[in-house]
Amino acid sequence: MSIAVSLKKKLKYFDLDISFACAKKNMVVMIGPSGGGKTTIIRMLAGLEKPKEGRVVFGDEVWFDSLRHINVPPQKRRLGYVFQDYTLFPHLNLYENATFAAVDRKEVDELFELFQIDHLKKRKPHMVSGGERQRCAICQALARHPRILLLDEPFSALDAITRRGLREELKNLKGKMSFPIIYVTHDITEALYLADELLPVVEGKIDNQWLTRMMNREPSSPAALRAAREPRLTLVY
Amino acid sequence: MTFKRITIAFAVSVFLVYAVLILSLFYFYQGPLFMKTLLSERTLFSLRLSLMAATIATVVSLFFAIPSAYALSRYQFPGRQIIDTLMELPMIVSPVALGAMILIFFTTPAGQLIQERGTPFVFTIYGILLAQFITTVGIAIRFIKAVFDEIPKKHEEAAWVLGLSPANTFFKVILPLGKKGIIASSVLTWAKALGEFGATITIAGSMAMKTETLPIAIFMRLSSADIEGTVVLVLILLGIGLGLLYGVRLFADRDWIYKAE
Repeated sequence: MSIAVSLKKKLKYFDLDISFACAKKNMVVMIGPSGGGKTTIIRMLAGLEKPKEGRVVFGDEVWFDSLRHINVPPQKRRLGYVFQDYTLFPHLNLYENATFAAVDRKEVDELFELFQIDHLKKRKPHMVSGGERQRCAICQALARHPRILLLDEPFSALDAITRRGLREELKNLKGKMSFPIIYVTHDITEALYLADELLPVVEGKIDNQWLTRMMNREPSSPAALRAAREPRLTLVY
Repeated sequence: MTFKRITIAFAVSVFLVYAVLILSLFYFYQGPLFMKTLLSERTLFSLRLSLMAATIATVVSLFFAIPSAYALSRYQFPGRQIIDTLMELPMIVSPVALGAMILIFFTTPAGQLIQERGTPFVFTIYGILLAQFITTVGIAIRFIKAVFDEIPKKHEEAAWVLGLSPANTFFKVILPLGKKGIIASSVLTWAKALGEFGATITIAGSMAMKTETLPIAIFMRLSSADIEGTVVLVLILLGIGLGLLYGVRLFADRDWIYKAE
């Protein structure tokens, strides 16, 4: 199954206008400066936000079509979505979180072993580290048997070492999965490491030159400097 | 004095005002009279009536307040602002005025029809329940809306993406997350209903052994210059209220109402 997307929406500072596709087994990494509309795009794919115009087609299922007034609610899209933070339900322990929407509880045990958090099953989210929380959030998303996985800066709140570890785990996982993955980051290293396909998003549009500009040249404006600062720092590790 | 000390001094001075008020009760406190008044038929009736009415009014208030608060916290709909503003009616209008409004309603044709064909409210226990419900429901909505506002929208969205319907999300995610806050709000609502006086006396009157709740009994004793009796009843009300609120404080401090992580 693959996904084909074309979206338009007026945002506060710019107009979002973007089209792309992601085939199965592929990982598209959306990269670009913060505030460029990446999260909005992901939220539109999940059905949490409504585009003004456009189409989202998954396989032969139409999830959104502005002309035909189709807008499938998030519940019916059966996708996995890992947020940057607040990913787990604070009133449930890790195991209850992961089995929350699980198809088969046995699989959750396997996932917990795979992600090395099976000793933390009974802990509440506030009693484990940020990295362990995100691992559990990935287990929660996978246990639902998603047809596509959306990851919105899942590791950006973590320290560099943990982030590198999880990055590798995710790359291993990718080989085993048969669905498309869309990954959002503003970290160039992470993007280059994970991506089958890079999708630079700047102010709501695809800007294929952005990556080259960022890597080759001194930032031209304070805003560009800000955007580039963190990726450059991570190159140290 | 440092800023910290100044702010603490303010808190302490307010505390002292209240403490002096409570302590001054004991100037007229007579030990033997306490038990005699407490165990008198009339006081026991008032106590039972007050506890029962406040409990029923609170349950009914919560039944309306929990879904209303959720709607106001989460959804945009026409008239939302007007509804939200009018919820504060019990806070902007004095209880007596509210009682008068209820009484006036029952003299309109619609009100009279309810009195005659349905339930009589004026000078009855139902009037007490109605007065307490009306004075507490708006406040309960305020309290509970604040609880729901504190819960990040992300948790609902996560539940939706995981396939839960909005109703299931409410019961499985929002209610458990807001549980502690809702319990605390319920207790405050209950305390407010228990102490309600103005609206109650206006609609239900002050008939001994019929519609005399504790606050009304206090007023009646005071107006017949029975200061010792008044002191006893105030102490009872105070004991219930403070005990309960202190219990809630302990309960809320011990665990979290809501933690982001």
